[in-house]
Amino acid sequence: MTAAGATISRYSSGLSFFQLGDDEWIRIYARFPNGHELDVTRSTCLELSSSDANVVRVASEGAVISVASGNANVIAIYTLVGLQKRLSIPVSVKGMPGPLIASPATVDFGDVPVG
Amino acid sequence: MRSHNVLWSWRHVLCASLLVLISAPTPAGAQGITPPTQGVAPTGTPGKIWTNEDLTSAHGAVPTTGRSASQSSANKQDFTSESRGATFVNPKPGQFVNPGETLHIDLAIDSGVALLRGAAIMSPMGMASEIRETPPYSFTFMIPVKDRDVSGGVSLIGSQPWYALGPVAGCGHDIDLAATTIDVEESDLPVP
Repeated sequence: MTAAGATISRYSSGLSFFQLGDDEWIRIYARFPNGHELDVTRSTCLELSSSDANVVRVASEGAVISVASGNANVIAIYTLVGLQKRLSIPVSVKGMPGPLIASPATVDFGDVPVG
Repeated sequence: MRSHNVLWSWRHVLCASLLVLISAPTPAGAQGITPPTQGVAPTGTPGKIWTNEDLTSAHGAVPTTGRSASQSSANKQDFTSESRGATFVNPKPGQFVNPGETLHIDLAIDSGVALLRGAAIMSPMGMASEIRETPPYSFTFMIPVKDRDVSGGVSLIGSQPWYALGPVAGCGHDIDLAATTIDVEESDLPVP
């Protein structure tokens, strides 16, 4: 099995996030004894998991979401009649929180004479 | 959700195409005629590739890499069917089907439903070449073996819907007859 993502740094060995709350879709590919090479991300035989949900979480169909700074692994386990294949994908989150949100959004100083 | 939307739009395009095929003007006098025996039919571009260096094969349980807060997401799905004048007798909802397998599809038309020009079936994997105008409403379809043979940007492996379509007397342009979902899976484990 292999994994692929769309916005992965070519210099890293796995997924890298630089902002908290970001998400990335990964795909899991598998080659089978009959020669078929297929995307198994949606397979009912596949389970994606996070080794540390405090750092990264996985959602259905290959969505990976950064939660907090740290390192973790996304683990893909393909299970068929009790036999399993496993792929571990390292994830690094060096995140800053998202954009600052001003609160309140506006400030009213009332009528102030100018000039 | 994203996949659902893709499938939905895909479906509308194909439905429109099929509507043209099987909703051509009915011969005079054919409207409202119930076929004699409408019963049960017989019998994105990847940027980085990880290699298999972390791949292991294990018999039995594989421990989850252990910190305290592991979390998982499995593709467990509720495979359902829907009937609007017809029912998929075969395949059953959630039935395992292998890529490359020839799938036999049987459709049962509800009693009292008058098909105007027969029925056809389709899915993102393609459509059966036959349009059945009379019973038995049986079809054969070869499951593709490549992701690129599936419409709508959806991968082959996993759940795949099937739709039965056909114009029905008194239903206007609504040609939905039935829907079901199968599970396309390989029969072996991936190789290293």
